Amino acid sequence: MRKIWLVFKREYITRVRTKAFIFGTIALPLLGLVILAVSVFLSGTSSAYTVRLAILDEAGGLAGSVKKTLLANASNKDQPDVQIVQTIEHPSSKQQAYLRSEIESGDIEAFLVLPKGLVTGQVPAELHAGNFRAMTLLGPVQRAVSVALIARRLAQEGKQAGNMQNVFKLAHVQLVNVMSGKEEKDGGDDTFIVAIAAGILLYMTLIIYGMSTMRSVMEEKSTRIIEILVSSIKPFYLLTGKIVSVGAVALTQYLIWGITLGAIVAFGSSFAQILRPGASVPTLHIPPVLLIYLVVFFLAGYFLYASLFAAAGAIVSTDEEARQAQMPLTLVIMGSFLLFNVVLNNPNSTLSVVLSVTPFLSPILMTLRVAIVPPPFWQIALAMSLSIAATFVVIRISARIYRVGILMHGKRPSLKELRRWLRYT
Amino acid sequence: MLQIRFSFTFRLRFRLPSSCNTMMDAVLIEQVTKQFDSFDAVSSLSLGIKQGTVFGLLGPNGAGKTTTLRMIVRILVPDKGTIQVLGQPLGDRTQDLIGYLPEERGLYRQMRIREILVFLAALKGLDEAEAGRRAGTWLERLGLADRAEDEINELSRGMQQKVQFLAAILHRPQLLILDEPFTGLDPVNAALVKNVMLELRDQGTTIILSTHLMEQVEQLCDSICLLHKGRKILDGNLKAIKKSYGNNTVRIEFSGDRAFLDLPGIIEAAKFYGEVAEIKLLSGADPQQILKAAVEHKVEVRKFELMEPPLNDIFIDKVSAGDA
Repeated sequence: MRKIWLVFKREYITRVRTKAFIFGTIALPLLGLVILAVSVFLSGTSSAYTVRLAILDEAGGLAGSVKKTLLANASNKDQPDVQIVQTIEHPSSKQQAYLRSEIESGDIEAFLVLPKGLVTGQVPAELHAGNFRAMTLLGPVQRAVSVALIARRLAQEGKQAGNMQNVFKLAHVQLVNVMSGKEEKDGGDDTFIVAIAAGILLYMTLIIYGMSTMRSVMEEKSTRIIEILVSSIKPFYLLTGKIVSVGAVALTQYLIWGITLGAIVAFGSSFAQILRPGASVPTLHIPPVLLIYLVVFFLAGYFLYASLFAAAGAIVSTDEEARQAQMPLTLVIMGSFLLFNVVLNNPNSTLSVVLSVTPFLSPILMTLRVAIVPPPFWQIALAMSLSIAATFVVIRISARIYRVGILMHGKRPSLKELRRWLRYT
Repeated sequence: MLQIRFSFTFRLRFRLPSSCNTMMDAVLIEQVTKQFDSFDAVSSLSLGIKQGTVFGLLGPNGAGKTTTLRMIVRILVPDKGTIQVLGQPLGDRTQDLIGYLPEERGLYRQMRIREILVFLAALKGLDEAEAGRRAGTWLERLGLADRAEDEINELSRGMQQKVQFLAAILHRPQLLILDEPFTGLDPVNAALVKNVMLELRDQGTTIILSTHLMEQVEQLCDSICLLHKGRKILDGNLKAIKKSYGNNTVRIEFSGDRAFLDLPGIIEAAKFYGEVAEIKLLSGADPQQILKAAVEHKVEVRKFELMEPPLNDIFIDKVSAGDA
């Protein structure tokens, strides 16, 4: 055990201090910040562009105030120029559909619905936006509606001082996306985006850390230090220490990413306010359960693939051979990524269930299902158990190949020779 | 001629003095065979190495030296036979008692010298703090103290070689196995390594030295074993082996025509290095005949020496006899 720990420690320390690890760890959160900043700045440039807005005032008596506030702030750089093309009080039920068709035909960019329950705070206002610039109106509209509501409530209940808290309650405006023709409520895309992101993250880290394990085996082989190592420690212990260590490095990276991601989500809006006061920030809702499963399935997939990559690294001697040997492994990982669509389209179909519990495919596909529609727990448990069982089998085979391969130099062995390696003692 | 050589019974001759020694064998190899596919890398090898001696493992390329060493350090497992190290069968415990410098060697390129020394010594069971202290002392002694925090890939080949040597001895192994330890070392560093080896031997370390440099073997080894095609063709005490070959070699330094050495019936073979000749006499021939011939030919003799046959000749002789 002590020797495994020594191997683990050495591998971990030399890995974490490499430039590749430091850059990789910083790059992702940095990319997130850049995307955030760019989106904030892009919305900032929209002031040169006029958004044509219609107001449907179902509550009655609010449109005038909202219009006044929006236009009064028109010179404010935070807000895109607004042209109020139409205000309709007490509209007919067909009006919304008509305005939506106007957005689609490009006659207006957005319309604002002020429903009846708005004043009491029961129903949110809706901003139907036809493009990104129109969406940036969300903040200014929210303020304008709030001003109108407060004025209305003051007029109604101003004399009763006890209700001040209700009076100053801000309006809630919901963004409705009309862009793709489909009407999706704000936040409807979240699960989809998160699922794809989780899949890509798993895909990338499995490949990167799998190959990293392989290169590490190859380095020991090509520098011939393996001969000294194997005279001091059993090859199986060496393999174990190495795989666990690379996995720990990956988890370290996950942890740092998780913390910075959390920080971006938590402080993103204040960060955006510094860049461009008044900007609205796109937020993602990431269920914590997903993060846990992401780590669990990463580990399950990692041990499975890493032991295979290690065996592949032990077989080959040159970079050229390494590329050939890692190809089938990469293909399997890529394959489960390509099966994404099957699962996305119908996460609970029999095919999706079978695919997502199959070892080698389960890490990515099951995480995907967890992200979209959480599957029954027994399926997750089944996927995990099958994956662990497969890992035990694969590690036994890999360790045998590894033990023989690390001392072999020269020609890459044929499959027949590999089978003989498995019988060596 | 060959028949005469074959008649020497080394086993009988050299077992006698060694059996007086009651010390435990540092390494005891009994009837060990190792096959690769259908090829016998080592076949029925038996060997005993006395504690506290320097043992030379010799043989032409592909004789099975490295395979034998790899079996002792447990990288390979014998197909047949047993190996004991310091009275114990091979196992986790014996591994920590052995220091191994393989012929094909290298180190992690991205690690610092001190780090890698501590890591490798710790793998042999040494406490890390103690390994750090010893690394400091030894790096000082081998002139690498100021490079201790440098990465391996910044070092010259010779320096790497010294670090590898240190990695083999830092945990004070009772059995030190050195496979071609001098390749890549300049004479100064080779002498440094040689001194450390002798010092360790004096402290009781048993050393197995595998090398093609017969000169080093003659200077360092107490006993040798000559392997050929996986079999032992000669083993025993080095001095005794040489003695058994007799003082039938003459080394002569002269100036003049070398024709005087054309002496059929006396000289079996002669090798010339400029004005130096190494002459192998036929058995029973009188070396004085050569001096006489020199006087007759008016050749000036500066040096005339009767000597033991060089190990190099014994090596070549035995190996070509084994091939015949």
